[in-house]
Amino acid sequence: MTAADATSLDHDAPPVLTARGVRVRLGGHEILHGVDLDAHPGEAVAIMGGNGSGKSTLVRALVGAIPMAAGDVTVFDQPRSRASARRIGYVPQRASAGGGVSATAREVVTAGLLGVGHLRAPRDAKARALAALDDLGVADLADRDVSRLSGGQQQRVLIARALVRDPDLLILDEPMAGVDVPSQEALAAALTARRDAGKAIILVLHELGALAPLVHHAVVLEQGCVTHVGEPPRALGVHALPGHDHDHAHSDVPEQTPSTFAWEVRQ
Amino acid sequence: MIDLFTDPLVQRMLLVALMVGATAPIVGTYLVHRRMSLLGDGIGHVALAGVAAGWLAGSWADLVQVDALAIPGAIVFAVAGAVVIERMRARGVAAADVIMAIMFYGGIASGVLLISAAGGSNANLMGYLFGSISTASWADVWVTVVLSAVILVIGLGLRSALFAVTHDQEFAYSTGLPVAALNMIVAVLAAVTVTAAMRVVGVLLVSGLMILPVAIAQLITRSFTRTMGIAMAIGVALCLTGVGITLFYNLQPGALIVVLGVILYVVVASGAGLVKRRRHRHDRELATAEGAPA
Repeated sequence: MTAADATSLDHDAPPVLTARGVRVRLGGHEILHGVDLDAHPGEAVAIMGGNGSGKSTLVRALVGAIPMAAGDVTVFDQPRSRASARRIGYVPQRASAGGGVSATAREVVTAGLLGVGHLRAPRDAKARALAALDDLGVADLADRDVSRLSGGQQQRVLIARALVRDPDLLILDEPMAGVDVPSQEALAAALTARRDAGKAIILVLHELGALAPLVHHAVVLEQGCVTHVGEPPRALGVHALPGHDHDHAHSDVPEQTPSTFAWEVRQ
Repeated sequence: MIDLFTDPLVQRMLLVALMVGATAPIVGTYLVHRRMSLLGDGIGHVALAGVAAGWLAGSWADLVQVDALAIPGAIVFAVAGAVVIERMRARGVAAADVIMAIMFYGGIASGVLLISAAGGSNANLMGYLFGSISTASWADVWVTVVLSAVILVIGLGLRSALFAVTHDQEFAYSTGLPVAALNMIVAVLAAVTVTAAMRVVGVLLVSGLMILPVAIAQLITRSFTRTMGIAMAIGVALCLTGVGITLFYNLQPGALIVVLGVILYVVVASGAGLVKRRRHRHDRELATAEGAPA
């Protein structure tokens, strides 16, 4: 029994998110060719695949950041709408955030309290933003310029911005990219606590890495098509773990990449 | 001196300078944050075409004051231009800098063409190109009051949402915020700012008044909200100082305000660099002292 099994995963409960036949066209090219995805309460689903497989495009379509050419996304039994967005916390890739003017971590996290019918931050916004930063162990950075923080610290701030909404569904795009080991551990702990509290998590991951114990279920994409659904490809995760000895450990196991793994699944 | 401040013309000049100085940096902060500092310039050039179109309409209607429709024309063209720029940007029709370039050339060329069609000359456009605060009437003051009120209410009232959209559009979409509408609000506010500030600094320098105070504020604070507040204070100080100096010396107010802004930027940047270097040296000395054997 893996750590991921010992949770509040409830497959009988209605799915938090259901995506059917998602197609996305960008710049005249079809990037996703009809992708299906389900996420249940208390479940962590990893969307995996190589570069250019369409992982990030899929989550951006799920949250409405880019339009879908076809397909349906249902969130909490309702077609996805701006109103249902209130129950979703999204952590985009770090590079998408930031502007020409400096902003403090607290200001960035406060933006997470906005949404439909909430164009202004609530009165207790400062206290809630500080509490969210504290949950991620970065309350001391509240008044620091976000653009001057390390990659790991920035990622914690962005996750705090998503969590301050107290979402039932958390969607993260490559949360571990460029993140130092202490931050990876802090992020893994924060996400595990959310999952164990019955919240659903969808993560785009290049490799499982430090999040291997968190993930129940993986959907592997290749060139915009789903090539595997089920048990996460753990061999990849082990290779990505911090401190893993690539030269000597598993020397009898051939090296796998997401795309070769997906190819083998299809065989 | 007291006589000077009871002069209605001086009162009008200072009132307009105060309002424009306070409001231009509000929109400037959003534009710098969205890395579209040149949007004000693009809209300014389109507004010039609006001035000329208003002039042409005035001459066709045989108005006594031929330029009576110049400011309304500028407002209509600036807002329409802002909407077109934002739609082209949002739809990815062309890169933002290419859209700006088209607006620059198109605005100036159409302005000159329309003013010549109206029987005027390029000299008639000079006041709009570089500002003409000393000819501000009470009607101009009221127009500025209304435009400034719009900027203050929307620009400050929607600060949280406008920050969210200009900071991270993808996240803003995920929260359900009306991203397209908020982006459009920033563009239209920029157009309103351009027409309000046109009287003080002129369309060619309007962007300077929107962007320079923000650039200076950025050197002394790291918070978005404080940057906006400090930029507003700097905008007011620059405008009042610039207009105040021109009461005693025969200088062009718009150009003076912008030059003062550039000088202040250089002074603050040098000061900030000095403080940084000193802090660095101090930290290094501390580290050396701690590492030295007792």
